[in-house]
Amino acid sequence: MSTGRVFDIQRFSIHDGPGIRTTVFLKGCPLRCLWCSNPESLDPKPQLSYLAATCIACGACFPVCKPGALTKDAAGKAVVDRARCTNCGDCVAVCDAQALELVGRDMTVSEVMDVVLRDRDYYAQSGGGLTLSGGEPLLQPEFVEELLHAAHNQGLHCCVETAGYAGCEVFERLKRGVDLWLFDYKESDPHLHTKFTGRERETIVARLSQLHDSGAKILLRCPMIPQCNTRPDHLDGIAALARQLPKLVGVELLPYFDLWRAKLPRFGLTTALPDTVKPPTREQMKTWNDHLRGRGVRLAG
Amino acid sequence: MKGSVNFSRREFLAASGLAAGGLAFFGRTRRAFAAAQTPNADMAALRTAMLASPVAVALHRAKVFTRIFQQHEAEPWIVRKALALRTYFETVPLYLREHDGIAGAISETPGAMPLLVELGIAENNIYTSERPDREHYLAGQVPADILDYWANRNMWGLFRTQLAGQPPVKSHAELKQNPGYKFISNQGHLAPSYAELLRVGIGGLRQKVAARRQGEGDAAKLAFLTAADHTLAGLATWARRYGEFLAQEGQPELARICTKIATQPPETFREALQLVWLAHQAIHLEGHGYSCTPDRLDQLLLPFFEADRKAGRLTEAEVLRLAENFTLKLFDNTFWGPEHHLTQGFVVGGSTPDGRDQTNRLSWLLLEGATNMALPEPLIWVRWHPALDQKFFDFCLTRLPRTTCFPMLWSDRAIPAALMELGVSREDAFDYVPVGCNELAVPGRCYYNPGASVNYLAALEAALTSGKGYRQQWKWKNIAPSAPELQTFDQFAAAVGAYMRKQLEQSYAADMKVLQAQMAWGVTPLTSCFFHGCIEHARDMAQGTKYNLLSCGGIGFANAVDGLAAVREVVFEKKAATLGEVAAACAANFAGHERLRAKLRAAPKQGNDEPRLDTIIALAERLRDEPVKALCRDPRDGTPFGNSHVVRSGAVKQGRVTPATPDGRLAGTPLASSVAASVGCERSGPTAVLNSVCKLNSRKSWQCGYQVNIRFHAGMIGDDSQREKLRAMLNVYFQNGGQELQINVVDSAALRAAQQNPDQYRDLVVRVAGFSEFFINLTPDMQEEIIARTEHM
Repeated sequence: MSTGRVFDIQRFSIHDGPGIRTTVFLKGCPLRCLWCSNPESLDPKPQLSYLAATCIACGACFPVCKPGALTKDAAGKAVVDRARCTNCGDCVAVCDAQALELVGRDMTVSEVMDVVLRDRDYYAQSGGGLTLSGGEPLLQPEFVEELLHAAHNQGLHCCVETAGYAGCEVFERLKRGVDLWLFDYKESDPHLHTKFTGRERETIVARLSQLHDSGAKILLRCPMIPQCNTRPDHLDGIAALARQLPKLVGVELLPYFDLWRAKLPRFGLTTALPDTVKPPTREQMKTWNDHLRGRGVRLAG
Repeated sequence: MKGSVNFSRREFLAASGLAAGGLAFFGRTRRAFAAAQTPNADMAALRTAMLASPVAVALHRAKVFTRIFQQHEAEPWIVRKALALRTYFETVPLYLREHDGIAGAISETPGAMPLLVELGIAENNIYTSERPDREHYLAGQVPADILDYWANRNMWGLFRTQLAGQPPVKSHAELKQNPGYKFISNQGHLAPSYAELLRVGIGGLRQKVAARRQGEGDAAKLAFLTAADHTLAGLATWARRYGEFLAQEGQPELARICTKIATQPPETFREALQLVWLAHQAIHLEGHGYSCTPDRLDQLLLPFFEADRKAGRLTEAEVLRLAENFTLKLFDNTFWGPEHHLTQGFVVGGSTPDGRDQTNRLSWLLLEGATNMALPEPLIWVRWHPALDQKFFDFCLTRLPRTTCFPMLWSDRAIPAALMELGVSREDAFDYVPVGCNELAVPGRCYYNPGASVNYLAALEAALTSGKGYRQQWKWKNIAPSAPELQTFDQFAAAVGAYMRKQLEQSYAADMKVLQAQMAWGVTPLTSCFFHGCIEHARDMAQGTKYNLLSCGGIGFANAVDGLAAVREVVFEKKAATLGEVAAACAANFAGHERLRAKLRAAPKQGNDEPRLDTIIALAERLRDEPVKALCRDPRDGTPFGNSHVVRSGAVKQGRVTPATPDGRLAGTPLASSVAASVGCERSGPTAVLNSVCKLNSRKSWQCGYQVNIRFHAGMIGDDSQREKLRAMLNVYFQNGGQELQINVVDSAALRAAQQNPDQYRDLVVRVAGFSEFFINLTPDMQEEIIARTEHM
């Protein structure tokens, strides 16, 4: 049985597919979206998370850190030197306060299913199920295929959320096990797409079309990021794409949230997205939804 | 006639020290918002007047009871009490609030306190034990001659001197201790059955009492019947006097109703509701402080509602207005001041024993009217069952944001089964109602009464310290092996169980003495007339009702589960510390033991659907249930005890005096009010919380009620698709055995804003450990506890 690198399992997910779901977040992503709400999901390797507020200054971590990445601050709490840290996790093992944690752990299909199945009554009652998200689940096709298979054997409805940047063969391989694709579409302008996400738009749109033409059920999900992609021309681009793909289940605009910024210091990460970017208002979301509706787009949710 | 503290409720709050920074007036914005939720401007105005009412003591009852008891010292206690109540009804001033459409108020201003002098006075410990900042706030309000007359003569005084072996005091001032709640409130936690009252009227009940007297020779029985008649006559007089008074006040319709129901049975919805209201107040006035639930209103009043609707006498808009009015009357009646309520409430919905949905049009209207008023009391409950109309269930959820917490939900799947476990018939069990925070009763057939208690956390402390306690405060010997001898977790658990058994023996013995006092001096003949069989057997309800369900209470169950799990993992599995080291760390409140505390906190915690806790939950239940089963019986008829999770604000209050615990909880911080999880320990989402609760054996171990809190963002309620998911989740929870659930609709940002700017949030109601309260009325540590409870987006 293969293992997958999981960085979180969130129960009672109510925004990622129909009904009540459990979302399994897989680590590693080929894109680098400026606004990524899970900055810890990008790197496929495990990453050290450090929460200074939780540190009790017991000092246990310093002697076990071989690369010497941990130093003491004035209060005796740890400070992580990210340039030296190798994310080996030795310090995590001695951190009783759980201030140091390694995010991204290898789990078997049955370990994941053990958690997923605890909420199966809720799925049955609400029409929910399992959602795989990330990161990019398609980076771990073998594990995803086995997990979907196991979930289907239990009669669970399965969604996969993808940014679409993967080879055709990966979609081919997984298609059978996915009841609903949550396909992210981020930018219509090719130049800006590369600028915002680090990858070219063409590949993603090509995979989307192929998947669509193969008869897969797809919900197109478009994050709305103020100052980036909330321009009318992108909304028109979404509408145009939806016209080309008539069998889409629908289009869903997702409002940007900025809670992810709180995660950055835990991982020693920085962002290029200016902090003047704030979540859109309810009224803005309505305007954009109306814009799409006015162009004949079927909205979901 | 009335000793009024010269404060309005709001001024009182501002002056009481707690209220630094502007508790001075009710938040205009919020109030306007709440007012806009009712189509009835007059009800909004009545509500506003109630919120602004002064803190006051209504002394009329104290004066009448003192005089009558003095005049009739030779009579049996029950007759003196009945004569006093009758005289009260004959003489008490009558009040009509502006805009009020239901007659009958206890005092000139809403919320004034009628001291139940014949029970216990002390210094109204209702306040002083819960709110240290309220100490002595009653000082000087009660005349010294009244205080001194009762010092040794009321139920508390007689209990102390005759049952507890304490010497009499020379004056009231000598009483330094505070009486327990039963000596302030007596029984309460009950629901009378009003079906017979509505069928035959007060006059019919008087005839029944008179008929029962025929040929009765037993003095005690005659005394009960005499007393019952005095109280019914008093109630009739009160209604008749209201009729006369209201006629003078230019309220002919209300006057007609009151005059009629003084003797005759009601025939219309308004008449029936008016009679229920007077009876409900009368029960409180007779001497039941806490938690009286007026039967099942939507079932009881349905025939009147339907007949009126059919005859075209009543519109739904009028019923909605009456539902709002009735809700305000209950709030008017919360006579223990601005922060501490009587926890009155009413329930709608439910199923028949064969599973048929009893939700009706009146259920909808009562729920709508009650939640329109956006008040912390009365509590509003809905009975969930598998056949519940899901449209109605959705309506229930849409009402949550108005009060942030009502309706609370109870399950017909779990509760009747648990009551039947204690011998209640299937038919009666399906008639259950909640009474108080999270207690259960059957109208007119059994009430809630704790008769023993365990302190899980003290038992853990004892096992960790060889029976000595962290401060060497106990001298328990030979109850269990000493801590160093406990070599396995099973041995440790057995030691905890042994101390729990010892606690239980002691608390059972003490509580049975209190029950003895209640049976002698806590009699309430009027209330007894609304309990099945009391008139027939000519005996007071204190001597026994159809079922006598005493129960063992406990507090901090989730802390106990977490503590046991932490000891198992840290001491016996990882061997990272000894029991002695855990004890030393707790004794030091973990100062210098931070790493050990971190290890204890890292152990699995209740509320996260953690399979490793399954055996611990069953263990904690067993450690309590086995000795309860072995030791505790109702002295009246031998019924085995049930169990309950005692809450109210006890979680905060008891937490203040509880040392650090082996789950890593710090000394003085709140205990778990919910059986679902300890404070701040929910980390896996609401389905995990609910699954954790379903691992409790509600049928065998929680027959008399437990409590589960869960919080959701208002946005989730407002969004149709998310609310549908929430509803699906709740359906699963109850299908899987959940007994009770209260949802708090709120967000942290709002609570922080309320702390910063209380004026703007005067109407923000939150549930605190079993009762609801305006958020800004809470002490800062209670506010922090509310905020610390995990939110679920």
